[in-house]
Amino acid sequence: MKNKLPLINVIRNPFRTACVAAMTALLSFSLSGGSALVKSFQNGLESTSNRLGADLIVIPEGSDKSVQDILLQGATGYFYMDSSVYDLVSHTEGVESATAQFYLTSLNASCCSVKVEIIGYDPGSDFVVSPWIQSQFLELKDNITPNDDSREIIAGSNVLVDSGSIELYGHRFNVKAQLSETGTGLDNAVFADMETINKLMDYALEKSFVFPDETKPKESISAILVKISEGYETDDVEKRIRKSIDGVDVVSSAGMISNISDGLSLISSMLMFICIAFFVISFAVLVILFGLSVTEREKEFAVVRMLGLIPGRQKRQYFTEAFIQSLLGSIPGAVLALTLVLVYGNAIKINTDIPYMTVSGPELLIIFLGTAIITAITGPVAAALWIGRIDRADPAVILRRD
Amino acid sequence: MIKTDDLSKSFLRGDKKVNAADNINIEIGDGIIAAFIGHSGSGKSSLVNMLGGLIKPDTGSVLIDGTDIYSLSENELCRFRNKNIGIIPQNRCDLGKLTVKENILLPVSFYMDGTVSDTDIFKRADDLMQKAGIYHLRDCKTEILSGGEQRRVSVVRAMIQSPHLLLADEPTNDLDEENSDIVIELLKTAAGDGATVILVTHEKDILPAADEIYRIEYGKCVNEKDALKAS
Repeated sequence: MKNKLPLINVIRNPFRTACVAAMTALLSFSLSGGSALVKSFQNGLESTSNRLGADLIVIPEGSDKSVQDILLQGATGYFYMDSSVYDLVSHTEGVESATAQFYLTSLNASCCSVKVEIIGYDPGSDFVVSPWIQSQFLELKDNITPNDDSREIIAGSNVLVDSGSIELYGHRFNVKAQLSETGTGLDNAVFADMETINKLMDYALEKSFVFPDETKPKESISAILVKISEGYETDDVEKRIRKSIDGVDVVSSAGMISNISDGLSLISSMLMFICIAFFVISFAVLVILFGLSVTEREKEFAVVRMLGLIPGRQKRQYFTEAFIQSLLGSIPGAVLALTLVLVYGNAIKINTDIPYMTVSGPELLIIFLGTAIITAITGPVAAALWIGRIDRADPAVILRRD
Repeated sequence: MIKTDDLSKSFLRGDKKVNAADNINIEIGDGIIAAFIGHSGSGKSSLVNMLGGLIKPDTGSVLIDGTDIYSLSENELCRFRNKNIGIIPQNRCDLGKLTVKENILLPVSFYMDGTVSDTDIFKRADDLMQKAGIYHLRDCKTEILSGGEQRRVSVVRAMIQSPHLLLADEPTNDLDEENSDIVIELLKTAAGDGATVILVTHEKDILPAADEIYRIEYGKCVNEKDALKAS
């Protein structure tokens, strides 16, 4: 015959159980939600760092904000400089390799099924896009350019693909592959080689796409991604490029990452503050709840002691009860928080200026288990503060009271 | 059998020292119902608590079937009390959220040492509930029972493990005649099973049920029959 007193007490005192569970649910909600958010932002930061690939990005003067918006926020935009800048950059001291990219956007119009950033890259010199694509699609390993057909493109994870293709400027382009989520703006982009881009330029002009004044699209590029040679400082190479080439801005990946990292630190600090505030308040309420409960149950403890339960087991029963009550709150709290983070991931991504990549399945499981266990233990910890009252419950005295 | 050797205990009431027990020596055999009588504050309940292992005496010993209960460790004493001593406190002491049957079986559930099978225990519980007239209430939570029904639950719970010593502090207090009679019959059943039954009372109506009567006054314990013989 098993002693089911802890379970009976949990089930048959629903108000007491609900109060404890509510507090641990609040605790669990804030801890797991906060952890998932911070981890998602960290994933986005790591992904951004991996995806940027280049040490420096050379762009037309005044376009530094635009390129960051495109790469990090998924905004669309276009800006151009003469393609001759590429040779100047490539031959700058300290530059190990450079590759040009061309940016175009689709229109929010009937000619295009989706509004996306179109990034053209040169397969011959590229060291950013191709390795990324190849790392995801092994069949393309020996084929640097994935585009055998100049009507094929590679799409980012957020691009809405209809029956394996998208329409751009009145022409359908097969989506050869769709990339995994990166949490960066590149999830909203499509990639095409220069031959395809040239075709797109023609199609765009047909659809009255207006390039900036004095731009000759087929003699222009949007950005040059630069890898620094070993032994050279990024700052020095950046200064050299600025000094030697007019009309350009230079953005460092480290600088972009650093800005994001600062933003992430701020968000993390805010979330941490909120978590700690919730924790302190919830724990204080739990302590009060258990204190009131112990006072109310003095006679019950005395009766059980009178019936001969040894003090150690009595305390174990008390903690078991507190643990069950806490677990009843910690699990739903964690589940709710993580569900909301998953469901509203896109909204969070859109409304923050920081790359965001939702936690993976294993990460989710770790966060869930970790927070559920930690918050389930807070009940017994709060209850432990009153354990002395149980020890001091003198059956001879208490049972004489009415 | 229960035996005390020079049992003494005093308490402070304000700044005055009061002797609850003053070198008490008693010996009560198996199957005996002993009634302890005395005025309020004479030390009856304190003596019962000492016999039950709930208050440690200042000096002296309590032997139950040869075991000096105050030489045991705290855990040993708890286990001993669970198996060998049944206590019926003066006031209500059931756990209201538990059913009648759950209350009764509660002390049995603390230690599963396999000395008695579940079947036997359930049967004993049913038999005692029938005797006490509460079998039909077995699945009811005790919080809804009347005072008399709750007292009967306490008595049955104290008897469930066939204790060697049964201590009843004012067991018929606040009970009507019918409930009082049921309680006394239960105590007689326990004595019939070989238990030493000690009941504290100041109701003269139940004294005829007792085999021995002890008067407690100012910490002294006197066997009324012996006192009558001496006079």
